[in-house]
Amino acid sequence: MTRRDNRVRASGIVLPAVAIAMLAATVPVFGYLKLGTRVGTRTANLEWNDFPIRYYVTERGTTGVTAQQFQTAISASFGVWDAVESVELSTEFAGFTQANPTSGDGMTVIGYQSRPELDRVLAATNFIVDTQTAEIVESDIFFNSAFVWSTDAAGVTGRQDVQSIAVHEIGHLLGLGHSALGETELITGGRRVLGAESVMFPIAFAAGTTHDRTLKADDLAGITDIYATNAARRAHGSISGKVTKNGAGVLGAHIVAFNTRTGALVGGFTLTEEGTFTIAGLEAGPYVLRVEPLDDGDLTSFFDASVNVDVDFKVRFHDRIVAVPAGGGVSVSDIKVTPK
Amino acid sequence: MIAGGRVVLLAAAIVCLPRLAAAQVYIGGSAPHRGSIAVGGDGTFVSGFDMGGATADLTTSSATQRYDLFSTASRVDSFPGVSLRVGYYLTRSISIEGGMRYARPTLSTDLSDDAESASDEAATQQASHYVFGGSLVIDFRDAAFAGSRAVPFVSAGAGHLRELHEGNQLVETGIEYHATAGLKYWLGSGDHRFGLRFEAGLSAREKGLDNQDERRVLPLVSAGLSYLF
Repeated sequence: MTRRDNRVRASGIVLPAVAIAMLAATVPVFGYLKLGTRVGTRTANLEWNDFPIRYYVTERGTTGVTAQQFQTAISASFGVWDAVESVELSTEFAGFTQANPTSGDGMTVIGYQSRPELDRVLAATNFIVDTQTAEIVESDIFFNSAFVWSTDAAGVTGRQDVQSIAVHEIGHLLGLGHSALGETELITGGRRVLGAESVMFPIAFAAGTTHDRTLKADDLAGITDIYATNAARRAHGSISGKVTKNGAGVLGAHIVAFNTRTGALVGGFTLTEEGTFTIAGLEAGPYVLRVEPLDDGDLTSFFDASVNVDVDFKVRFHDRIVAVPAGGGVSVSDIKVTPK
Repeated sequence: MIAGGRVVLLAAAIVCLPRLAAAQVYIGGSAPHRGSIAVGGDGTFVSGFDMGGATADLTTSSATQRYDLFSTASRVDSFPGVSLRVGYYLTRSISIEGGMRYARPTLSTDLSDDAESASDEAATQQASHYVFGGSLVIDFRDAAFAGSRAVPFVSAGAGHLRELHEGNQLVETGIEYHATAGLKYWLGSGDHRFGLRFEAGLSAREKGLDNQDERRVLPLVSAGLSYLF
């Protein structure tokens, strides 16, 4: 999974072969886009089972960022996820290494690599997964030193913020896919982010922005869905439903759940031909739902290219307030959309 | 506001009690008397309230600006309901009541101003509203009229507010206070008799299914039937 420069949209992404093989095998599962893989006949979430997750940092800096500054920013980024109260996970900096962030060496490594040919990719995460259990056994994140970076506390205009991008990539490392909770506009040569309310949105804010150092409700819901503590499972709930058009299911519709009490925004997708979705990890409370086509990023940022995502329908609101219970789920009636 | 209302109510009680004790107006024989029990049921109507608006907005590159995805404005519509009560007379003029109120208020959220021009929508939900509470009721027997059949009264009390969102899986709780004034109109003159009861006042609520968890003071009216044992 990659984080792209905000100025551009997807183009061919070259990752190490092992990563390509693994990503091709992954599929999104559940409403919040978690990464999954086929295990036999079922789809299982990619997740870590052994904690703490021990990671190494390549002892190599780049222009304007020393290796030590980079490691500090990376550790702070892991700390952002570690600090989520509703989840049970932990990470640990294991030390500097001379190894590159490439798969297959048995170590989880985060580091810089110069990949000027990937002129649309700020950073990328790849995995080694046990295909019998879907357990992540290794994950590596490379930061593209072809871009200009900063670890300045306030950010530096024109320089990508290491911590913001690292928080996003570590989300992938933990098993999260991309969120579509953002709005973009087409500009020459790509897309510009108008707004986003998820660190896991695939397109970065303008260079110098540090907003993504902080997790949003969407990110918290996603990570809680995977690694919830027992208390969090009792305190959070889910919304399930179906989006249809002319009586048929809509695949790839983006559903936004808005908590009218807290203002929290959480997104999810319909992930079956029947148009079914489940948005989990939600705080209990009243929600309204908005359904939109997936038109604010490249479809391949969210789904495999072979998936026939339907984007030919109008945005609409659901006409019911949905009450999400603590520790349970609620089903909503079909949300019927109409063609554009 | 409710605190002020209670002060007025208590003042009225303090002023009236000596007069009640002295007057001992005869109404319908010896009843009600200490130990009398009255049961009853009422139709109620509680005013709705706005729960304010919230904007679903997104973070932008700017430190100060937000990108508005859509707007919401939520309210609870006025809701009719029913209540049941049992009262016990401590004296001929003072009684305590316990009871419950039930209603099915409609919650509405208006959705508008969509960034991608979705049609405006009013999302709704049918909730369940319960109040389990008690009241102190003071009859102004010396102010009775219509042949002493019509007796003004005041009432004040509090209760546990329990509201369930549609589906009955999400429960919100809070506190309800009420202060009302009204009229009891007794039918017949025996110790056991029916009566009509009308009252109006204020119901103050805290929390419950209110998005903003604010204290709301709402008009309340009710009318019903009582039976005196």
